[in-house]
Amino acid sequence: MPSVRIRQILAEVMVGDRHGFPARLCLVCAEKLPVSGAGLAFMTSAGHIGTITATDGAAAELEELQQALGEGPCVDAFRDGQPVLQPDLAATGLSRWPGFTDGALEAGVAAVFAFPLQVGAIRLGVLDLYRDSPGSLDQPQLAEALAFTEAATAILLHLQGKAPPGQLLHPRLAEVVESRREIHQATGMITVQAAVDVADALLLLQAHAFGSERPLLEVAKDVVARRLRFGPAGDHDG
Amino acid sequence: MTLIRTRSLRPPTPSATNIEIAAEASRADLADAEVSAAEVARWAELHEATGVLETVDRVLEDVLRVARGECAGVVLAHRGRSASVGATDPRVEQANRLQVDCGEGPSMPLTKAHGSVLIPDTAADQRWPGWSRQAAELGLRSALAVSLATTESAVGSLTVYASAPNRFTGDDVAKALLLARHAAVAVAGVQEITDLARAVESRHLIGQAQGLLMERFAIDADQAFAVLRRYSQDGNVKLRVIAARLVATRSLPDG
Repeated sequence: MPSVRIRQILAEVMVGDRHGFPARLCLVCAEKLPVSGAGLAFMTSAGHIGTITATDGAAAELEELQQALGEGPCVDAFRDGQPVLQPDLAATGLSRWPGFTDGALEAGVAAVFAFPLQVGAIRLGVLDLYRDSPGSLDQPQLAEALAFTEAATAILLHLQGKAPPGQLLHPRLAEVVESRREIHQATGMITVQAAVDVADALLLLQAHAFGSERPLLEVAKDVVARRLRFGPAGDHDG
Repeated sequence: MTLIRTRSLRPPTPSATNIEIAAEASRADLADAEVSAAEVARWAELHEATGVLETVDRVLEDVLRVARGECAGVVLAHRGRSASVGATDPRVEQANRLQVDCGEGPSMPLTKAHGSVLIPDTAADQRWPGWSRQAAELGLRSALAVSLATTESAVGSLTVYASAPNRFTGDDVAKALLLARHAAVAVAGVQEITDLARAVESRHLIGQAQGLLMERFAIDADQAFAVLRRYSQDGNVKLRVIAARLVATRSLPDG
């Protein structure tokens, strides 16, 4: 049974067009808590699958970085089923996630708080909050963040409950995965090109994007358009 | 010990010969259930399971404890299909599968509506004579079925059995109903999130499988999707399963 606070949040967020619920949830969350922005992402055991919504550029960059690098607070929060709190990323993040921390600091992210979206032990994604200056969340604020996390899960389940008959995913949720379909397709292509499994194929793709300082999706599109190949030894030409 | 007493609107009245499906059971039949606070606290753990099957296993463990049954099973009704799940005994699996296959038996109406059914003796039951005779032959003489339903939707039904007739009392019915309400919320919750997580993963796996086929056969994404769909239809296997298999083995069915 949802708590009173969660019902209040849902009442405030679930107004107007259903497709706007995830974005509204993040906006209201960023308003009520001492954070600069918020983002929601789908995750699976294979990693970050796609950003559902982000309140601003830095929040979006935070998600992109974690998908591109396969590391970061949301990856750990999802894997462990527990919040990851980084009130001062510059001080503590570099040793844990060197690539992510560099990129996040550059994007203006100074503190990150990641909360897994889950029911029981089954996980779906993460709610990521960030601050543009270091600073932690106190106990009532953490409780509030957890209430928003539960509300976010409820909203995604609500949307999926409204999926048209015969459709695997609600269109608002399908577009999250679809908008990055080249990443998934490129990963599949590389398994054949380099004779590796999907986990290693994704690593090859991520390493190439990181090395060439290009967005993961752009590199993936090159692979799908057959402008870039990964050879059996891990070599690639493009 | 603290006792939790539910609202007593009217006493449960399972007669010796009649079977009752109490329509407004969610309120009325919860009369006089006495369940310890420790027991109710254990039910909270129903929400911590890692999947639908584990949740059902926990529900069955709980119901055998509170309703004094010997064996139990669940019939889940999901997306218009019913299935016997988690039976604690092969005889229960057989009895529940008979109900699902023939669409007849005490559990079936309860997958669609709130309520409970008490069969004091399957050997004497007239309401589902075909099923009851077979249950009696299996040695399941007492049967108590309750609906697994939330305020929003029916999830399935839970049936407890005992080998001796006249085993279950009104108190067992009330306790089973109380547990079933908690259980239904837990099962519905885990079903919802499992479905969504699986749907997201499917899209992702289908994308990877498409890529694999695109590279192997030098085809585009749409053609790769058509290949996947054909394998799915030919083998009568879900697209998600075909995609997962392809991605895991990196080879097509039949080599």
